[in-house]
Amino acid sequence: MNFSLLVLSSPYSAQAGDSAWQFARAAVASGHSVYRVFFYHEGVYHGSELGISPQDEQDRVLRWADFSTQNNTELVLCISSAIRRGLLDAGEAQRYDKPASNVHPAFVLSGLGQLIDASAHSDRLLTFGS
Amino acid sequence: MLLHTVNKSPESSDALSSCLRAALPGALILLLEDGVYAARRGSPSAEQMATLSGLHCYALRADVEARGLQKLVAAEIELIEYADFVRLSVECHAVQSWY
Amino acid sequence: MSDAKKKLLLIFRHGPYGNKLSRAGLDVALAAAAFDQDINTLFMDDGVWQLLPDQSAGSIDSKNVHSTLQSLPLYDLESFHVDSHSLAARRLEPAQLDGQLVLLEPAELAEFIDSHDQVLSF
Repeated sequence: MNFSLLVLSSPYSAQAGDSAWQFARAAVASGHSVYRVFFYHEGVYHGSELGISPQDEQDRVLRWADFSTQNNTELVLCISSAIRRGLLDAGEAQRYDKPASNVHPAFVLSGLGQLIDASAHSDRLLTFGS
Repeated sequence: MLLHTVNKSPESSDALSSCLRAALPGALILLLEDGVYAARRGSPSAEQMATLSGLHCYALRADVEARGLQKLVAAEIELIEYADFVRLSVECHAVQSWY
Repeated sequence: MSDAKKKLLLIFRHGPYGNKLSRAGLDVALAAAAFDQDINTLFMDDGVWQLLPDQSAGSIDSKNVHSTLQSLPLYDLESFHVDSHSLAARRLEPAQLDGQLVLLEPAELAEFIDSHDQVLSF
């Protein structure tokens, strides 16, 4: 089966993002695929390249990046949620004349159409929110 | 049949009560994160879930153990792993998250 | 199977302004409608407050949720399903709300939700 996940909470405000990652790993370990993880609303903070994770904790950004590489899963940050929260890739930073970009390269900024696409093309769509 | 997930404690949120109103007989309920507090033996929620006809209730073991509830879970609620969460989401036709 | 048009249900459970997730949910409804998906909306719990008319969101520097809801019929999303229990718990009468409402009695709520292929909740 083909799963997509919708993540609505930031990595350090609630457990939802952790639960999503655990589910994604378990899905792949069970022989399923994860088509897309769509980070929306506060969930976009999972895509920040600038966070410094405590040494005794798993890095909430890098482990999604690793998962994406290993399993060919697309990681999407909703562009409207991201830019209003100051999460910009190089293109958006340039467009809005901002001094820096900060989205980790494993994540792509895109619109809600990608969530609708995930809904249409996945067998199951799960929401992780708080 | 839907798989319903609840991640808030029954005393802090209406997530579980709304879930129970919205669940058909025979539906599956998975308690995870803070939702596992509803699985505590003798709690009003656990008793309510035991009386509702045909519900299958589960709790994520990792969240139960993290919260020190492992010896306190009601008998009717089955502790499961993430692999089982995946399996249940495949067996049901969709997943609805109450949070 | 994956590519067949699915019946998608969007459940709104939060009030319109205190939790900005409601706005995010409405944007998903608009996107789904714009992409010609087969969707229904259900307002329950504090989500029923979104249907009150006379919202002056400008007073708190926010986009008007009620106005957005009024635009959904333009995308063929004409009726809003409403959980009667949530209204009764708030002593709200359907006549106080705006829009083409389909009231779901308690016995109908679970069946309605279960009839969809996918459910998203905001």
